[in-house]
This record gives sequence, structure tokens and C-alpha cells, in this order.
Amino acid sequence: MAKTVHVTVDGRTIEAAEGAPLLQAMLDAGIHIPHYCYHPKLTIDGSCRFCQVRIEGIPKLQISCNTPVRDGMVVKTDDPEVHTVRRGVIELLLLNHPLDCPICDKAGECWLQNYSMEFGAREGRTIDPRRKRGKRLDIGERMLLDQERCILCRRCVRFCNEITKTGELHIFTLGDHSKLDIYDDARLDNPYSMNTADICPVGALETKDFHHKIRVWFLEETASVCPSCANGCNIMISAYRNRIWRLVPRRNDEVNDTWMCDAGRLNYRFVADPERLRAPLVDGAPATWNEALDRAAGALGDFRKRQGGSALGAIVSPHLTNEENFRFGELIHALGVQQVAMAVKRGPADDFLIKAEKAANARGVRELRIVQGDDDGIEALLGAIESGMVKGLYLCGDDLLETVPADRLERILAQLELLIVQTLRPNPRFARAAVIFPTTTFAEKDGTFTNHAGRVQRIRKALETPAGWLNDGEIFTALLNAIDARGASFALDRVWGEMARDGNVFSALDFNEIGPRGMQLAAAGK
Amino acid sequence: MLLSSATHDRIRAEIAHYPNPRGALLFALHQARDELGRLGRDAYAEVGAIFGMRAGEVAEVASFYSLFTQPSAKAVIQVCTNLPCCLRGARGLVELLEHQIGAKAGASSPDGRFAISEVECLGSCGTAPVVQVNRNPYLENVTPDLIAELTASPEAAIAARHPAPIISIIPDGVDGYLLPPNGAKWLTLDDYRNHGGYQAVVKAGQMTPKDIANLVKDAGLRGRGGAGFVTGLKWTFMPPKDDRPRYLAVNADESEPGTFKDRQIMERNPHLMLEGIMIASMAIEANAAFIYIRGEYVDAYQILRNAIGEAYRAGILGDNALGFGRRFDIHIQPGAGAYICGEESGMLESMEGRKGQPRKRPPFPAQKGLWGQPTTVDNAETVSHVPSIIMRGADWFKAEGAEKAAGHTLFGISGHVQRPGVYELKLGVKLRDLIFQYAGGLADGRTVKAVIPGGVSMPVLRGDQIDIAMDHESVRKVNTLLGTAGVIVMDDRTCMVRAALVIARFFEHESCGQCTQCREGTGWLYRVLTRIERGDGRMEDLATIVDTASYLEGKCICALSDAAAWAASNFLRQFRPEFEAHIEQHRCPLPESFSI
Repeated sequence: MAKTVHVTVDGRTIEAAEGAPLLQAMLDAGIHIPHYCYHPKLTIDGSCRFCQVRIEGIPKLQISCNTPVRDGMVVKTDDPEVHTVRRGVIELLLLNHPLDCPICDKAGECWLQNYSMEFGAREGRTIDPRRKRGKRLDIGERMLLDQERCILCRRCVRFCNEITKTGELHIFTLGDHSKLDIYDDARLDNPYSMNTADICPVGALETKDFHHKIRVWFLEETASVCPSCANGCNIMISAYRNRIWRLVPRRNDEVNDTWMCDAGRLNYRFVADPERLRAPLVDGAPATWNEALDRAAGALGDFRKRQGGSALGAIVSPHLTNEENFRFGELIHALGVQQVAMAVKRGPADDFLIKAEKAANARGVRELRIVQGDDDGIEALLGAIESGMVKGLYLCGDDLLETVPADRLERILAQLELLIVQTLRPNPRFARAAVIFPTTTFAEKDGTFTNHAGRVQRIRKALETPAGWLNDGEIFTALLNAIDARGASFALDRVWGEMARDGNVFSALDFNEIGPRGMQLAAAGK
Repeated sequence: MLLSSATHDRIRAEIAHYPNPRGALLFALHQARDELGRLGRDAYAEVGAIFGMRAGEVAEVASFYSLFTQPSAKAVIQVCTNLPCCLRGARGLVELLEHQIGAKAGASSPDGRFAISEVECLGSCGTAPVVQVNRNPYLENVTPDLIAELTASPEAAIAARHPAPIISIIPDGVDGYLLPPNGAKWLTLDDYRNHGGYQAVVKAGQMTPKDIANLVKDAGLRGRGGAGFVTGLKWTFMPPKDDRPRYLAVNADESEPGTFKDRQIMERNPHLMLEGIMIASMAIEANAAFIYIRGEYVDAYQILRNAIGEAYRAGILGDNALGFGRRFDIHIQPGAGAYICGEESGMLESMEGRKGQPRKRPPFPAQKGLWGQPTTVDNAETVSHVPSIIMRGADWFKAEGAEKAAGHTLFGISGHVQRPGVYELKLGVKLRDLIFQYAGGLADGRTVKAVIPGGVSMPVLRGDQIDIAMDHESVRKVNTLLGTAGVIVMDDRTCMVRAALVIARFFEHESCGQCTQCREGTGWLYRVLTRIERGDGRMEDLATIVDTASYLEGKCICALSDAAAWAASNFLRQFRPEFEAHIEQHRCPLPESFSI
């Protein structure tokens, strides 16, 4: 750990880590210093020249990004030369900027707009023609480039060189002819390409997905966690009119720095999928929530009575929250279920963010000790169904459909006498299900996920569900109350209270203290 | 494979000289372009494969350098249109060429034989106007007749004028030590040894590194590359010797318009420079020295390469280098037509096979220089003073110059003088004497209107300010700097707006593009000055020039932004009524001025 030292900025003393970039120290202390090229997760470039400050004892202004903090440093930002820098950078950048803000996706969160308002002149004085460059260039599967808007801060170039190490972006030629571009057929298609749009301070790099979709100032942001793999990248859900318009990464140095993969970013359409189940189905027909709960509770109770709990199996979903799965664990325990498994869809992984398990909370299920075994109990459960020992199944989630070969799955489902399902979409395979409950997505509820490394992180409700809708945890709770007359509630702090008493690893954490960066489970390992 | 196996062999052999193969990237691109006539995707891919680089990476580097981006033709005729050449009629040559080959500048002739390219300073201002065809030796003092010859047969025209005329002189009464006697060239090792060469390195070999540095510091040698920093002092900035290799990087990227002196040493006295490099390397305990020479200087490059080869064969360089008692190497790297590579850290980037964009400091080269190792950067002329200092001592050197500006320097003088050229003179010579006594004054009836004392980066003087001594301290009294001591003289017919515009165009063309203010500001200054010169200026544009200069000055990574700011703001300050006249009359009030 670097030593904490003191720096004076315009008469105010701030604390900072010795050797840290002065710019970062000032930003951390809430001192607003304009900058473009500096990015905390990229090497220092020092070329935008915007963050210059006066430092006592040094005759020339210094770029604060490349100035390491030293104890006793006296910094001045309210200085005529510093004002000249700020006015100059803005006036010069605007000389050739196309000013096409009405059709720019970045408008409203553009650093050129914001700084122009703050430091720029109120009228332009150039009458010379603006530079013409490529617009809306298709530079990748998911990315567009506008060279006229580019301010050549090289953040995206450094991202591709330093983070993905794929190096697709180049700045060609020199001087004011400099031009950001890809070369030939080496397109910007790396699995993290869309991060370049986030770090672009202007609208030079835009994602096709968000292109001309909506003005950003309409968006409401909700801090959450990406549901698409076990990494649990921190995100903001941007919603408007109860619909998600984009996911963007949110900084968490313990998990994803400031990045996320393109696949995760684009995986939000299922939330608004028109095929989604909008009401429970009882014996294949739409039913009210109460009808469905009654039928499910009745069927489960009867089945237990007739066959015994050990003839009932359960599949836990790695997409549900820790709280929901805790409650599901209680439910199946009350039902006497012994064969419990978890199906997790797997896919490609890399050594950066993308994990093989394509679900956000498999680790949470394991930490709750609901499932056991290297395959999370799947083979044992399927074998028990195939052997006729298990004749009923409470199935949460769709991952089973993609982890078990279709013909085997069909045989297994055909053998079941009772099938209760919680799923996203109706599926002909579930035709024989007694009850199908619609499941609730990550964006529609509160709770926590435990990522692959054992970090417990909050997800938050960004979208409203229809009146009367029950999320998965509420379904489990209602069934538990019906079967076991518990009078349980699914209020999260209550659930956490119960989780703590249960003595699992979560008992060491306090739900209300899980901040925006999450909390690490004390006991590592499964 | 596009490239011949011989080319591949040459590239591989060159790679062996560098701690990192990429040191040979620019060399390889020259080889590829020389062989193929143009560079494109396949060439970049093939060169990239040699260096473990993707085609796009190579293309990005190449796109930075004008020699790799010239139009494609059998003979690319590059006409220097920077100020000294423009002052002596370069524009007329371009028009003549356009007429003769039937293509505009920047394009190729319909038959593909010729292309015309207007290029920035070729570093031969004393023989302006200058033309270079492909990477052949220059055609100097080019006349319309020569253009006719050239378009008839480029090969014959070039061969007939090679080698170039000697334009450097030791005037009577000067005890020259940089240049060989007038008219002579000491190209071979024997030439040099017969005149006392390589004795200083032996003598320095008896001294400690510290003593060498102190002697050169005491002598008061100041860098001749433009900044005038005390050389011996710079050497002491190197960290204490440890396990890491250390380098001397020699800046022979002479490209400051008005400056054409280093070439005279390299083409007439190459071993002097090598000996100076060796002694400087002893002082900083360098393992090797790398000379970065501008890519257009093909003769000087070959002469130095030959001299280095001779030195290796004679055992002066290599395993038991003369005076070192250990291994010491010198290699030479070609640049490729980018002015900014003359800036020391831009040069280091280019030497490492990248775009020549200056590095932010810290770290400084002495801490982290070439290939990340402790490095000292010295100008080619600067090191050439060192052998004489070793042999003749600090007091002698101090007596050969002005106070606080010891020794001789090679003054280059160009523009509207009768005898442009390079003069070896003591620092402190009067500017008036330089113009009128040595350079023969102006044409009959003409008077001095403006003088740039040290390359176009330095603030311009009016004709009534030439009674100053040409040394670092004296020129400060008239608010300018000695720079490279390349003096450009403009007579009373010369349009100052036009002169400022040519310089602004140069900086716009040569800004590396990384710092916001320099990239955008040099372009704006150029566009505003273009409008004023054309007669479309507004009075408020003059305030824009002053403001833009304030945005640039002192705000960027390197001094190019300062130079661009000073040039524009000082021409305006010194000659404001002429700018106003352009705006009021909507035209140039000086009908006889040079054209651009």
C-alpha cells in the first residue's frame, strides 16, 4: 500500500496515495478536472493536454495525469494559463467537429458537449470549412465509427492494444490529417469491442445496438449485475418506459474493472421477448396466479402423500438469486425431496471476463449446499428418473434443455408423473407439466448473485412487473406457506435473517452492507 | 512473396544490429518501397511477418512517414517548397513540372512515369531550390533547364550532377576544425588519419568518463541541435552505470527549414563525427551508438555506412574498440520523412520502429530512452566538436567563440543572399557580417526585410535588428533564439504574410497529431493565414492568430507547438501593418514577392 500523503489544490488539502496520478487523486477528492485521454484502466497517454494544472515550483503547466502525487505538492487550477488551456482545447476541438449532436448517440453524455458548456466560448469564430471524414463506417459486427467526431484521444486504441490485445484500431497519418480507422479486413470484432463506445468521450464509436434508438437523457439507470455468465460483471441497466435499451458496464475493480463482454451487453432482449410467458399455465391453459399456486401446492402435496418426498426431484436454477434459491431449498426440504440437481449451460470462456458457466449464480447454489457433486447432481437425478425412483420433478429454469441431449430429455420428461416448471417461455417439451410458472428476469427483481469467485453482489429491480405478478422467490414462499403453513415472507431482509440462522456461508454477511462493489464470501472454495 | 530473397536477407542482416528487431522496421520499409515502387497491404503483411507485426500495425507506422506515402510512379519528383526553396523559385519549378508531365502536384502523370510531390524542407537550403527523385541524390540549384533535362531522362540528369557541389566553407582567418580544408572531402579512414584523426579517442581512452564529461562541460560546448543545452552537463544526467545497456542516440535528422549543416560534416568529414560519437559514448559509458539520419540524405547515409564499415574493419569499432578496451558499436538508421523525428523523443520512437510521436516526460531519455534504456541524445554537429576539445583543451575551445557560447558553429545561410551556404565561424559573429561579408549580401538594390536566425522555429527579426552577435545570449536581447544557426534572409520584396503562411503550412504538415492544441491549432493557423494571404481575411483573424498561439505555446508534449506559435505570432508582431494591408486591400500589396 502506498503511503497516504497530502496535496493542496486551490487551497484545499486532499489526501492521496503517494505516486498515484495527481489527476486521479483530484478526481477522487471530488475536484473536477477536465480530461479526455486519461482513463484509470489504460496506460497514461498525456496527449489531450486538457488536465494541465499549475504546480508550485515548476515553471510550465503540467498534465496532472502524468504527474505522480508527492507529499506537500501545491496545485493551482484557478490560474490564467490553466483557463487558457481549457478554453483552447475546447475551441480547437470544435473547429472541425461536425456538431451533429441531434443524430449522435452520445449526445447528453458527451464529454465534448459537457466541457464546451463549462469551458467553451459562447460563440464560434471559425468560418473555415470543417474537415470531411468517414461517417457511420461499419468497422465491426457490432460497431460504427464516425471519424469526424473523433477527438483522437486514443482511448479505444489503447483499449484494443492493452486490454484485449487485439490491436484492431489505428491512427493513420499525422497532424490534423490523423484518422482513426481499422485496417483492411481486420475488423473491430473482438468479444469486448463495444467497450470502445463506452470509453469514447464523444460519439465517434457507437454500437449498432444502441444506434439512433433513444436519447440518453430519457434513460433511467439501475445498478445491477450482468446475468449472462458466472463472472457477474457490474452493470447499469438503462431503461425507459419499462423497457431495457442498453446495458453498460459499471466499475468494480474486484470483478470487471470497467468492462463487460459484448455477448453479455447484448443479452437483454429476452426480458422483452414477446414469446415470454406472461401468465401461469395450468395443464397447458392460462390460469390466474392463485389457481396456479393452488394447483401446484395441491399436486405437490398429493404427490408427497402418494409417493413420498423421495420420489420427487428438483432442479435448481443458477439464474435465480441467492435468496430465491435459499427459499427453494426450504421448499424442497419441506417436501422431503432428496434428489436435487442444478443444470448450468456452458459455453466458451476466456482468461479475461467471460466464464464458461453461462449463468450468474451457480456458485450461490453450491454455497447454499443445495446441490452436491462435480456435476451438481445432474447425473444422479436423471439416473433416478430413468430408473423410476424419481417420478416427479420441480424444474426451475431452462438450462436443462441445453445440457441434456434432446432424445434423453424427451424420454425423461415422458417418464414423469408430475412436472412443475418455472420458465421464461412456453415450450412444447413441457406440455405435460401440471403447472408452468413464468420466471422473473434479473431486471425485474431485487436480490443477490454470487459470482464464480464468491463475491455476493446486489441486483436491483429496473423494470416493473404486472400487478399480481410473483417472482420466483415469492412463488417458492407461497408454496412453502401452503404446504408447511410457515407464514413466511419473501422480504429480502427477512430472508437474509433466515439465511443467517441457517448457518451457511452467507450468515457472515449483512445484506444491508452489501455495497455497490459487493462483498466477498469469507470461506473460499465450494 | 513480393520481396526478393536478397531484400529479405538485407532486412535480416539489419535486424541483427538492434536490441529489438523493430529497430530495422523503417529500413525494411525503405527496402520494400525501393523494390516495389509502392507500399500496400501485401507489402505491409510481408514486412509485418518479418517483425511479428500485423499488417495494420505496419501500415499505421508507414502512414506517418512522407517517404512511404508518396504518390506512385516510376520517378517521383519531390520538390521542396519550404521557405528557403520558395524564396528561390520553387513554386515556378512545380508549375513547370506540372505543365511538362501533365499532372498536378500530388498526382501521377497519365503514363505513370512521373509524379510530382511538394515536400517539406529537404535540408539543402543553401542550394535551393532542391529536387529529389525517388531516393536518389539531390538535384540542387535547380533551374528550368534542369527540369527539362529531368523530364527527358531522370537517370542522366541525376548522374550528371553527382556528387553534389560542396557548399561549406571555412572563411579566411578561421582555424576550422569541423570541416576539412575548403574543397576537400575526407571520406576514407586514411584521409582522416592522415590529418590526425582518431587520436582524440585514444587520448580520451586514458581519461575517466567523468573527466571527459567535465572537460566538455568546462569547454562550454552547447548542443547544436537547436536547444543549446550544455553538452557535458547533459552527459552527467545519465544514471550511475549498472547492468543495463546504455546508448548514445545521435540526431542527424536535420530537417529544420533553414538548416543544412550536419550534412556537410557527414558528406565531407564522416570519421570526425564517428570519433566524436565514440568519445561521447565513453563519457556516458554507452554500449552502442545509433545514428538516426533523415531518409532523404541518401549520400550522407551511404558515406557514413561506408565509414562505419571501414572503422569496423580497422578494429576501431567492434570487440576491442579503439580507446574503449571493450566492445563498442555504431549503427545508422534511416528516417523516412517526418520533421518531428528530429525532436529527441520522437526520434527515439522512430528508432524503435514506431510513429515518431514525441514521448511525454517524465521519464526523460537518460532514465528511459532508446528501448527503455538510459540514453543520451546528441546532435550530429555537437559530437563533432568533441575530438578537438579533447585534443586542444577547454581553454582553446572557449577562446574560439563567444562568452557562454564557446567554439565554432556551422552557420547556414539561405534565402535572398548572393552566396548561400554553410560557414564555419566562431559563435558570436555579427549577423550583419554573416549576411553581407560572408554570404555576399543581397542582390543589387535590395535591402534586408526579415531574417530568421536559427531555423523557422525561431522568432523572426526585422531588417533593422541584424546588428546582433550570433550567440545564444546575444540573440535573446532581440527576443529570438539561436536555434540551429540556420539563417534565412528575406529581401524587401518578400511578402511577410506569405512567409508566415509557408511556415504555418510546414507545421500543419509536420505536427505529429497527438496533442490536441498542436494538431488542431497548426491547422487553424494555416487556414486563417491562407485566407488572409488570399485576400479573404478579417481584422478579427489577427486576434485569432494571437489567441491560437497562446493555446499552443508551452502547452504540448514537445516544442513543435511552441515553434508554430512563435512563427505565426512573431511574424504578426513584427510585420502587423503588412497583415492589415492584406486584409484591407483584399490582396497582397507586394506584387514582386515570391510565389507559393
